[in-house]
Amino acid sequence: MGNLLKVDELQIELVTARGVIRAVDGVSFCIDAGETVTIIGESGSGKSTTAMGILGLLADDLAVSSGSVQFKDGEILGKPKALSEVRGKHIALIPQDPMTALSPVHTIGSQLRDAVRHSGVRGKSAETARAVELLEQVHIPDPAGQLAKYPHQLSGGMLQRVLIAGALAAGPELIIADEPTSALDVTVQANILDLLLELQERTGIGMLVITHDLGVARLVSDRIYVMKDGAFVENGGAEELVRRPQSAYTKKLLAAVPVLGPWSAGQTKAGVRA
Amino acid sequence: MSQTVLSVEDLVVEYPVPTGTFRAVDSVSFSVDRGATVAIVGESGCGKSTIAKSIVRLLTPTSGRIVVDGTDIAQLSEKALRPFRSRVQMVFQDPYGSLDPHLTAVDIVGEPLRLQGVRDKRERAQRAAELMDRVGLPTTALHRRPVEFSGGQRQRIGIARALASGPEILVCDEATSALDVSVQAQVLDLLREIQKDTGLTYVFISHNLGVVREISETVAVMSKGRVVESGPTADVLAHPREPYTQALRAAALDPTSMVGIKPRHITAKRPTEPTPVSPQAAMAPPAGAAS
Amino acid sequence: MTTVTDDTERLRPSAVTAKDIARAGVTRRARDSRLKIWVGSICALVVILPVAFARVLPLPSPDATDLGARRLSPLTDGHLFGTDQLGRDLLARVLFGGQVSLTIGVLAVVVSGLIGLTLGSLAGYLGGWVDTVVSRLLEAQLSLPLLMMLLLVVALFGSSIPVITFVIAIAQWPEIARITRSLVLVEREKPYIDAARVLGLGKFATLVRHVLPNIIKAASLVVLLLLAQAVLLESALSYLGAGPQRPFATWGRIISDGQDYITTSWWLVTLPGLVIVLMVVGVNLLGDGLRDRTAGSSLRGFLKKFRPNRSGA
Repeated sequence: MGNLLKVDELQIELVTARGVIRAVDGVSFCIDAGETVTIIGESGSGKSTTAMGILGLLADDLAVSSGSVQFKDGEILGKPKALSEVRGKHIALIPQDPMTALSPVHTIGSQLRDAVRHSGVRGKSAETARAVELLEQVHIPDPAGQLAKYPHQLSGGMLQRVLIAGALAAGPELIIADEPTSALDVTVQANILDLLLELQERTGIGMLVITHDLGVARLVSDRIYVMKDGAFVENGGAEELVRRPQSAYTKKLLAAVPVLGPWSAGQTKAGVRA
Repeated sequence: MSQTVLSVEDLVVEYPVPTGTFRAVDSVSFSVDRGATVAIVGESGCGKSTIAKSIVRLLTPTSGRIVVDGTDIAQLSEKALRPFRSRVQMVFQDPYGSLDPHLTAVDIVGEPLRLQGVRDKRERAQRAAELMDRVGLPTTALHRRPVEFSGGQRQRIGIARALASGPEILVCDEATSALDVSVQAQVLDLLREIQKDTGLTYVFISHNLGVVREISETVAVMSKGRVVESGPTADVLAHPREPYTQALRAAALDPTSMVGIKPRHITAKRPTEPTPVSPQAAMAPPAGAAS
Repeated sequence: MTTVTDDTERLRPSAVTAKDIARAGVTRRARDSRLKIWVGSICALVVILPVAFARVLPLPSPDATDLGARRLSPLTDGHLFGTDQLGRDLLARVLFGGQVSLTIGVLAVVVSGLIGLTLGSLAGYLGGWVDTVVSRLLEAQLSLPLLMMLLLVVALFGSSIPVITFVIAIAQWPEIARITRSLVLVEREKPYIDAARVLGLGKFATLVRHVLPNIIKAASLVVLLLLAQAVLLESALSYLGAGPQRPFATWGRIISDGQDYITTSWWLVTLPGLVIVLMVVGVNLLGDGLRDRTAGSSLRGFLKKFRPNRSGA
């Protein structure tokens, strides 16, 4: 099991001013093609560190990683050459905050072209064509026109779509989405999650989603891992975990989510405006 | 006998922008009874934070009235406003930025007491200790600095500080939005408890419908500076009338009410199908400055 | 069924080796800042302490001329630094001269610090016309050629110690004001300032009680670094003949007195110059080290946290 990503006893320790902190304490999981696995946890649980550690994005002079991370049966943990082969091309990252994840002084077009170039496409017109194609895939209106804009001219939702487009540039087999909707308004969130699921249906990519939001986790996942203090406390199918949680921590998390209850559209009364 | 302790009438707040003026709050009106909670909910840029800042007079509104217990404070000068400051207090969104990093907890909570004329340092410390206890923090924490507390604890300190002035109205500006979900639940519990004990009136700003449902009896839904819909919270959330409210409601994710596994439209299915919202409308960037 | 993993019993060994700790960014930074503080303090104190205690040291008088012992090279006849062209002991001259130089430097920095902090924080906090006036004033001053301006003032008002001190203070306040203004601008936007206003604290009270205490550390570091610059400015003025007049022989004056003999008696210019360099470098290193200091002052105490098998925050 685990043809795409297999993580075995991953341990990440951080050397900080307050001592050695064990951010990730022996986690194991795997992801298949076409599957979405979500790691859910509160702040300080180690979920983002896990994602960064898998991709080798933690600073060398800060993190000490041990254990094993295998992508398609090839070990990548602690192997810079293997990582640079895989990063961006086979495993792509959608970073946390869309508003700050893009360079403010370069146009969307030039940054997308950078991503496209990294995947092997050469020549400005070919790169631009591919960039437009990617923007179409993520349903951005008027893609050719957006290329000339700067990040500050786009809304959070649009920027997130651009980041997703950039992640898709090389046709990766696995996407790691770090809090893909936390910085977005709730109506925009719905559309971004729709987009991610649609892309997965179309291309069969695997997804690792990191989030603190139980609703997002429930919506997009096949399987959910609940993380606390660097270790998993429970895991299972999304429906199963939310319906019949067993560990006290998962139950506590679910109980803490405010309940909204069922709803239906009300009758509009003419002229009622507060 | 309930009485209106806060009444906002035709509030307008405008900002000058390069192209003219931007109306962040466009003729908003609502009122709150003593001991009740009104929630103002909306997405970023709708003007809810601007309303919060207007009520506590961190900014002066362009026009309109903010009536606190019979007096319109909207246009009062700083000097005339001073006696009203203690009656309307605020709990801020950012637990990491809303406490002075170089002060200890007892200083932070004691500052409003000093402003009210409590000169004796020991008396201030004692009352601060009582307030810290009230919000569920150990009195051993009195002499620690903010950096030594967690986000939820800092928010409690912020609440204790707000309570120290003895306010009648507490404006909570996204007070739980930056907290983990379990901590958020604890802080909401605390706020409800305090309201039950003291009859405090809350104006609760949030973008989270679930939190709004938990904390408020009345809700006003805002979009682009205007109130789109308002009424009893249970009604508005269970039977939203306006398309915007319906869009908000449809987009809110409640994990316990979902069924099945992917694709989305199956998982998020509700007992009654909501009116569909076009992706184009939901994707349009908000106009002008954020709230 | 979901799977519950309860690994609380199983303790995984740490994979962090001593080598990892040694090359960690945080260790390097602590070590670097520690080193800078030590080296900087030693260099600065090697100059400042003898200067401060010049009177109790067994030194000949700095003004005692001995025409029989002119221009002796260092380490002859008990003269550690040699003698100058009038037979005066150079070390004594340098140390006593240093008293004047350092006094002027410290006083100038204190005055410029007060002016700069006050104007900078008012400009940053109040904004509006106050900011406009202060900013234009400091920009105007920064655009003037510094040394020319100082020479002009000295030419107009004479070169007494108070004038020199004041002149150097005027030269330095813009830089302090600019940094203070930036720090205040950043601090002003933070929510705890809003919170103070909502509590009913007045504008000035907020500035003094909340903004200033949080920026004072960063601002003081700049002031410390400017001490070195003040001493250099004083030396420059004295060298050009605009410094405090005789009998005060400050470092700049000593160098200018010795410049005619630069090829024949190198020590007359080089040794005072080295003393200035040592002090300036020392103070700068100290300032850098203080700025980069991580929480947890001593390196040994810092390393204690990395004892094996200790984890958790």
